[in-house]
Amino acid sequence: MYEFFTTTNLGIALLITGQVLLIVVPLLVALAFLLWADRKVWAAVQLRKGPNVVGAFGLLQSFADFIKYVVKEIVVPAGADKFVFFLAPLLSLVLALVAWAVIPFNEGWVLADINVAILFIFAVSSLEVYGVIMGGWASNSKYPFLGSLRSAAQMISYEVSIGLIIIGVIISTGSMNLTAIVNAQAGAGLLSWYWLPHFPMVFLFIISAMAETNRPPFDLPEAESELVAGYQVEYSSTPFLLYMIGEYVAITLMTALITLLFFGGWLSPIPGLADGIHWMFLKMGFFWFLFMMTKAVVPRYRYDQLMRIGWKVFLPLSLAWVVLVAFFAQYGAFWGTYARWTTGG
Amino acid sequence: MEDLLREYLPIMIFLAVAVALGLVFLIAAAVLAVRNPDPEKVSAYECGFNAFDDARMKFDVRFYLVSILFIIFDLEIAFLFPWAVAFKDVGLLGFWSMMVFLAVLTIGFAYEWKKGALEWE
Amino acid sequence: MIRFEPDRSQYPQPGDDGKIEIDLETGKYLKLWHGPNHPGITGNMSVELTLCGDEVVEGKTHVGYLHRGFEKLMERRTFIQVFPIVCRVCVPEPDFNEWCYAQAVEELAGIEAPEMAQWIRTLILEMGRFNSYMMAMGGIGGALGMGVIGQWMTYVRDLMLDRFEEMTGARIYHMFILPGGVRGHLPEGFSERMEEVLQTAERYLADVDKAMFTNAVFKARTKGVGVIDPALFEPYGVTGPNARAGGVAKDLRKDAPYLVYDQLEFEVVTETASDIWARARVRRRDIDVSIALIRQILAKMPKEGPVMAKLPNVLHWKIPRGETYVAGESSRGEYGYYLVTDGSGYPRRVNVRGPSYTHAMALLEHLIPGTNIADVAALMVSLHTYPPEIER
Repeated sequence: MYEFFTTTNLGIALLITGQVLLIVVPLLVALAFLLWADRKVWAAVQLRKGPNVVGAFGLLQSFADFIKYVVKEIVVPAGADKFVFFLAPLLSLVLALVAWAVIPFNEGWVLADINVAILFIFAVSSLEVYGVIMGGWASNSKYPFLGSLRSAAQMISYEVSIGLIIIGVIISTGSMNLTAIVNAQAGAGLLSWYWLPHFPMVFLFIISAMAETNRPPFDLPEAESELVAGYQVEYSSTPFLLYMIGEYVAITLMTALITLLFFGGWLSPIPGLADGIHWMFLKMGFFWFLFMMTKAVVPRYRYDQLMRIGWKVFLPLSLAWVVLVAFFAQYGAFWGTYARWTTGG
Repeated sequence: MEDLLREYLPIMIFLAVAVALGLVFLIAAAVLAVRNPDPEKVSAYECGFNAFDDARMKFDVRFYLVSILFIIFDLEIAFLFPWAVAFKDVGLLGFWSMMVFLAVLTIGFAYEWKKGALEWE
Repeated sequence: MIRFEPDRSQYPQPGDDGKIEIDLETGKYLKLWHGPNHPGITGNMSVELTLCGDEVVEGKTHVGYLHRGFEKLMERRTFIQVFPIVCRVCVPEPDFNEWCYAQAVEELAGIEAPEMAQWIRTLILEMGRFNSYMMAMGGIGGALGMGVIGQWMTYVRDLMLDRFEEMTGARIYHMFILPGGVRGHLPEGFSERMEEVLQTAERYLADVDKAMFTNAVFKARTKGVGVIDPALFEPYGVTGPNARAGGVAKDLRKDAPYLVYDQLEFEVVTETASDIWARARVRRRDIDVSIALIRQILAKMPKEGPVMAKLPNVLHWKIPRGETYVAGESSRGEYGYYLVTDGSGYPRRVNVRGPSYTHAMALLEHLIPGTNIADVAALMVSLHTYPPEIER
C-alpha cells in the first residue's frame, strides 16, 4: 500500500489529490465560518444581531446561503458573452484557490515547496484582475463595465507597492521560499519577526492588501452608492457565489501572507512556547478580525484619491524602503537585522 | 526535469481540483435551479430603464497611463526579485549597479510626476 | 469666500437655448442612470448622468416616480379630512406639515391655540427635527460607504419614535396637531424618559463625532467637494442648514419667531466652507441645538392648561374667504403652506413649499457638472432632500 502511493505515478497523483483536498475542504469550511464571523462583527458594530436563526448563533447561516445560491436561477443577460460570462467567476475562484498550494502552514506542511513561492503568489494574484475585467466586459452593462475598469487600475496600482514591500523581505532573508522566510524570523520570539525591522511597511502591506482584494475602504469596484455592485451586478446564483468565495479566499490568503512575511507564521511569540500551526491560525484570525473591523467603521475612498495614495505615497515610500533595506543589508547595519543570512537566522 | 515535475505537479493537480470545484458549483446550479428567462429579466440592469446603447463602446479611460506605468514598475520588480534573492552573492558591484538602475527609475518617476501623468483629473 | 466654478472648457458648451448637445457617438461620453432603482439615490428620483472618464459632465434630474397628487386631493376634502394627507407629504418629518396646515387654517378661521398647545407643538417640531437630522446623518454616512453611522442613528431615532408613540399613539404619522391645538397632554413622567433618550443620543453622537468627523477618509471625501457659492443662495432659493453651511445665518426660528421660539434661547449654527463637510457639520451641531431646545421646552412649559380651543362642528366647518402663507424652519430649510379658502367647506387651493424642491432639482443640476461620479450620492444626501416633498 505504502509503495503504491510513493512509487507508481497514479499513486502519487492520488496522494497529492488527497493533500489538495486536505487544504481545499478545510479552507472552504473555514470560509463559511469566516463569512459568518464577518457578518457578525459587522452587525455587532452596527448594533444589530446579525445572522442568528440557522443553527446555534446562526453558525450554519453560510451553509443555508450556499443551498440558496445553488437552487437560484442563473440569469444570463441578453447581450452577454456567455462563455466569458461563466469563465470569469470560475477564473476568479481558481486563481484565488491555487495560490494556497505554496502556503506553508507549519514547518514542512506545504503542498508544493517551490523556491519561488512568493513569485508564484505574486503572479497568480496579478492574474486575478482578469476575473474582474472579464466579468465586467462580458456582462454588457455599464455599471459592471465601469466597475471592472476601476478594479483593473486599482489592483495593478497596489500590486506595484506590494511587490516592492516583498522585495525588502526577500533581501532580508535571501530566499523566496516562504518556509525559509519564516525560519529567518526565528529567534527571540515576537521581537525577531519582520514587523519590527520592516515596521512602516507592515501598515503599507496591510492597506495594500485591502486595496488588492477590493475590501473596504477600497471597495470601489463594487461601491454601491455609485456603481450599485460593480462587476457583480449581472451575476446571480452560483456564478456570484464563485466570485464571493474567490474574494474571501483571496482575503484569507492575504492574511496568511501578512502572517508569514511579517509576523513569523507558525513561530510562537514568546520564546520557550512550542511553535505550531495554531499560532499561524491565531495570527491569521487576528488579521481577519482587523479586516472585518475596518470594513465596519471606515468610509469609502474616492477613486482619484485612492490612485493618488497608491502612486504618490505608497510607491515612493516602498521604493525608498527597498533602497534603505538594501543599504542596511549591504553594510550590516543594526547588527545584521536586515541581512539575516549573515547572522545564520 | 524529474525534480521540476515533482515540485510543480502539486500545483497542476491543485489547479485541476479548483477548476473541478468551480465547475461542480456552476453545473449544480444549472441542473438544480429552474430556468425561466423572460425579456425583462435578461435585459441589462440600467436602474429600471432601457439601456441607452450597447455598453461595449469606445470610452474615454483616463487611466491608460496607469497601465503603462504599471508595466514599467512591474518590470522593475521583476528585475528586483532575482537580485534580492541573490543579494548576498552579487557583491558590491551588483549592489551598486542596482542602485544606479533604481536611481534612473526614480528620475523617470519624478519626471512623470512633474509632467502630471499622476494627476487623475 | 470659495467659488465653485468647474472647469468645463473641454466639455460641450450650452447652446443659445441653454441646452448642451452631447454627441455620444464620439465615444468620449457615457450616459448612466443614477436612480430610481439605485442604492445611491435618495428616495424615488433619478439623475441622468453624462460621464467623461470618472467626471460627470452633465446631470439631469428626473422626478415623477412618486407623484400622488396630494395638493389636488386636499381640494376635495373637508378641512379636517386633509390631516391624514398632509403628514404624508414628507415622510421623515411629518409634523411640520401638520403644524403648517393647522396654523394656516387657524389664521383663516380666526382661532387661537391655547398656550399649552403651543408649547407641545414646539416640542413635537423639535423632536421631528431631531429625527430628521438623524436620518440625514445616517444618509451622509451611508453615501460614503459608512453604513455604521446609519445604523447607530436609526437606533437613536427609534428611541425618539418610542417617545412619539407614547405621546401620540403613532410612530411615524402622528396626526397629533389639529387646528385649535393638539390632541392631548404629555403622558405622566414623559420628561424623565425623554431625558434618558437624549442622554443616549448624546452618547451615540459623541461616537459619531469620533468615527465620522475625525476620520481622515471622511474629511478627504467631503472637504472642498460640492461647494455652493453663497451668491447662489438667493437665486436658487437655498434655505436652512444648506444656507447656514455657507455662512448665511438664516433661521426662521430666529428671524420670524413662530410658536414659542421667542421664549427659548438658542444659537443659529453656521459654518463657512459651504461644502459637504460644512453641511454635515451644521446638521451635526444643529442636533445639539435641538437637544438643548427639547430640554428647555420640557423645563419651561406650563404644567397644565387647556390644549384645545373651542372649535365649531368640524364636519360642516366653513372657513371665510382668505389666503395665507405659513412658514417655519424645518430641518431642511423653509417649509411653508399656502392656503386659499373661498368660504366653502373645502380648501380652494393648498400649495406646499417644500425645501427639497429647490434643493434637489435646479441646484443639484447646477452642482453636479465637474464632480466625480462617486460624489453624486454624497452631494445629494448632503443637500438633505426628500423626493416625496418635491412631488406633492
